[in-house]
Amino acid sequence: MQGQVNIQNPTIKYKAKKGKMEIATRIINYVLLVVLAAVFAFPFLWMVATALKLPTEVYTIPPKLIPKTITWDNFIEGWQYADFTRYTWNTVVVTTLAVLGTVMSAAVVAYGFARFRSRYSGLLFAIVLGTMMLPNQVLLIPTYILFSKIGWLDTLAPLIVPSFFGGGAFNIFLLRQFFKTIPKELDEAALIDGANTFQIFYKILVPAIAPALITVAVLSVAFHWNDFMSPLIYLNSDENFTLAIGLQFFQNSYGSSQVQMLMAVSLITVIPLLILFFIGQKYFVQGITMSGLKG
Amino acid sequence: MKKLVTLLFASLCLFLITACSSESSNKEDGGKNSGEITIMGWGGGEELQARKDATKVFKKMYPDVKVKEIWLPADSVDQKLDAALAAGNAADVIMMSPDWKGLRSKWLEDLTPYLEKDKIDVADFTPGADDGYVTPDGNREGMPTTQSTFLMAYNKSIFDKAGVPYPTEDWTWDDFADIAEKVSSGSGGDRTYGMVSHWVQNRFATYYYGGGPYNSDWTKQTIDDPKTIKSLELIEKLVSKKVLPDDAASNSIPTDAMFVSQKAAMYPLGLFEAGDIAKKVGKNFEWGVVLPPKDPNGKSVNIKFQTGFAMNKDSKNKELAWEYIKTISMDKEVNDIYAKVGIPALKESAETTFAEMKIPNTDIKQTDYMSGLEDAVQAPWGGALNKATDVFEQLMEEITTEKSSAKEAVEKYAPKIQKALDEVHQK
Repeated sequence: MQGQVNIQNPTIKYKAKKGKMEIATRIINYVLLVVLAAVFAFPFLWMVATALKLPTEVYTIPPKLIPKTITWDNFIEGWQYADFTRYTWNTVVVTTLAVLGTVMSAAVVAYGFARFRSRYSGLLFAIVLGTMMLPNQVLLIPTYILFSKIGWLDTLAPLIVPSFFGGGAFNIFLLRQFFKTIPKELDEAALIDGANTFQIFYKILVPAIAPALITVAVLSVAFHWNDFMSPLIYLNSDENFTLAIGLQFFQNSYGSSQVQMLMAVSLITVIPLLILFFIGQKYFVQGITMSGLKG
Repeated sequence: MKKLVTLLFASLCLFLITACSSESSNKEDGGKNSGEITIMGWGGGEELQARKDATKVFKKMYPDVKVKEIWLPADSVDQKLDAALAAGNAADVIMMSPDWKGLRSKWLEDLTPYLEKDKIDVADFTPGADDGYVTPDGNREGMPTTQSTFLMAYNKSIFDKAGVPYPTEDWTWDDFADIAEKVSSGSGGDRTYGMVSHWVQNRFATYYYGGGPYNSDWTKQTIDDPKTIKSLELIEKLVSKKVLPDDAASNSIPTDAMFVSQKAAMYPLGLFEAGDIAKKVGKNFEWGVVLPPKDPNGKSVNIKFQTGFAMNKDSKNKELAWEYIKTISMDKEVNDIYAKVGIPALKESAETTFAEMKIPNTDIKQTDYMSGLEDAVQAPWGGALNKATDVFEQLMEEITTEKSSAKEAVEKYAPKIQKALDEVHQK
C-alpha cells in the first residue's frame, strides 16, 4: 500500500502540476485574446459612440466612449446629407453582379490551371500572377480610354463586366490551390462514369470547393462594397454613385468634415458586411487554411 | 381647288421661310442659348450645395441648355481629371483654383477674347478675387467665384486662466510668440498648446517678418532671405518650447479637435470652416477672433484661397461654356448664393449679402474676413509649383520634427527649391 502511494504520488503531483499549467496557459491565452479583441473592436466601438454624439461632444477631452446625450439625429441628417438610398442601391447592384462574375469566372480559370496541362500553362499562370504586381494607377488611363471608346463611362458596366473575365489573379490563385488539394482520381472516376469536362467541374469539383468559393465571395464583396477608385474614375452622375464615393462628400475642400454624420452613415453601410462576415466566417477560415494560404 | 393648292403652297413656303430664318438666327446667336455642356467641380457639404444651387440659376437663365453636372468629393479629383483629359473627354467647364496644378498647363482656354467681347470689367470683382487667374504672359485661364481668408480664433477661457489679455488687431508675430508661450501649460498628454499645427501654417511660415518664399515672377527663391529665415526660426523656437505641438502630438488628434477640445489656445480659422468649428465648440467655451499678427511693415499676414472656373481648351461648345463661367462669376443671384460659403467674386454681393451675414452660432461678422483680404497674399504653394511645394514641405518637416535647425534646413533645401523653380520656367 505504502509502495503504491509512493509510486502514485509523483504521477498525481505531475498531473496536478500539468493541470495548473494548463489552466494558467488558458487564462493567459484568454486574457491576451480579450485584450487583442478589445484593441481591434475599439475603433468600431468608437465609430458607434461618435455616431450617437452631439457635434459638441465629439472632441471632448478626456475622450468619452459613452456619450452624455445620445442622439439619433446623425443617422437621419447623415442619410439625408446626400442621396444615400440611391448610393446603397447602386452599391448592392454592383457588388452582387461583380461578386457573381468573380466567383464564376475565377473558378473556371482556376479549374483550367489546376487540371489541364499544356506547354504554355506555366508561363500563362506566371503572366496571370504577374498582373498582381501592376498597380491600379498604371492601368487607370488605358482602361478609362477603353471604356470611354465603348461608351460605358457613367454606367455601372465598368464596375461589373470585368469581373466576368477572370475574377482577379488572387482569386484564381486561391481557387487553383484549392482545386489541387482534391485528388485527380475523383475526376477520373467521374470521367469513367461518362461525365464530360464541364460536368466534372460543376457536379464534382464545385461542390467540393464550396468553402473556397465562399472565401472568394466574401473577399470580393468586401472589395466591391468598399471600392472607391473605380467608381470615382468611371462614374460622373450623382444617380450612379456608390456608397464609397458618397461617404467622401462629408468632407469639404479644405479637409473639414462632419465626423458624427460620417460615422453614423458608415455604421449603417458597414452592417451588411458584418452580417455577411459572421455568416461566412466558418467557411472563410476553412477556405483560407485549406488552400494553403495561412501564414 | 386651284386656290386651295395655291394657299397650301404659300403656307408651305411661309413655314419654310420661318424655319430657315429661325435657324439662321440661331446661327447668328452662335448657338449660345441652346446645346449641351458638361461642368466638373468638387466639394462637400454647404460648398457643394452652393455650387449646385448656382448651376440651377444658370439653368433657369438658359432653359434650352442641357447642363451635365459632375460633382466629386474634394480630395479625389486629380486622377479622374488626368484620365479624362488624356482621353480627350474632360468636361467643358472645370473648377479651378490658382493653387491647383491645372493652371499654366496646356489644357485651358485663354478667356481674354471672351472678356473683351462681352466687355467684362474686372473692377467689378472683389479686390484680390481675380489674382492668379491671369498668367504673367497675359493668358486668362479662369474666372473667380469665391475666396477665403483666415482669422486667428482664440479660446477666451484659456487666456483668462493664464491671465493674458486677448490679442488685438495691432499685434505682431513677436507678440504672438510671447502670448502663445504664456497661454501654454501642462505637460505630456495634459499639455495645452499655444496654437494648433494647422495645415495652413506652412503657407504662412515664410511671411512673419516680411519675407516670402520666392520673388514675384517665380524666378528666384527667397527662402534664404534673412527675413524668411527669421520666420522659420520662429517656428523652430515655438516647436522646441512645445508652444506648437510637434508632429507626433499633431498626428494624435485632428487639428480642429485640438482647439475644440481646448488642447490649444489659438487656431487659424479659415472662413470655409468657421461655421463647422462654431458648431463643434457650441457653448463649451467662450472664444473670439482677431486678424492674424502683423509683419514689421504693419501688414497683417494672411493667405487667401480662391476658387473659380476655367474652360477646357478642347471643349466642343465654347460659347456655352463661357456663358456658364461668366454667369457663375458675375451674376448677382449666383454670387449671393456663394456668399454662404466664401467671399463672393462680385464686389456688389461681397459688400451687401456677404457683409451682412454672420458665422452661424457666433457673433463673428463675415466682414472680419473681408478685412483680411486687404493684405492677404495668394496661397504660395501648389499649382504649377508642385515640385517646389514638395521640397518646401520637406524643409518644414525637418524643422517641425527638430531634425534640423531652420538655418540648416534652409541651407539644405533652398538650392533644391531654386532648381524646382528653374524647371517651371524651362517648361
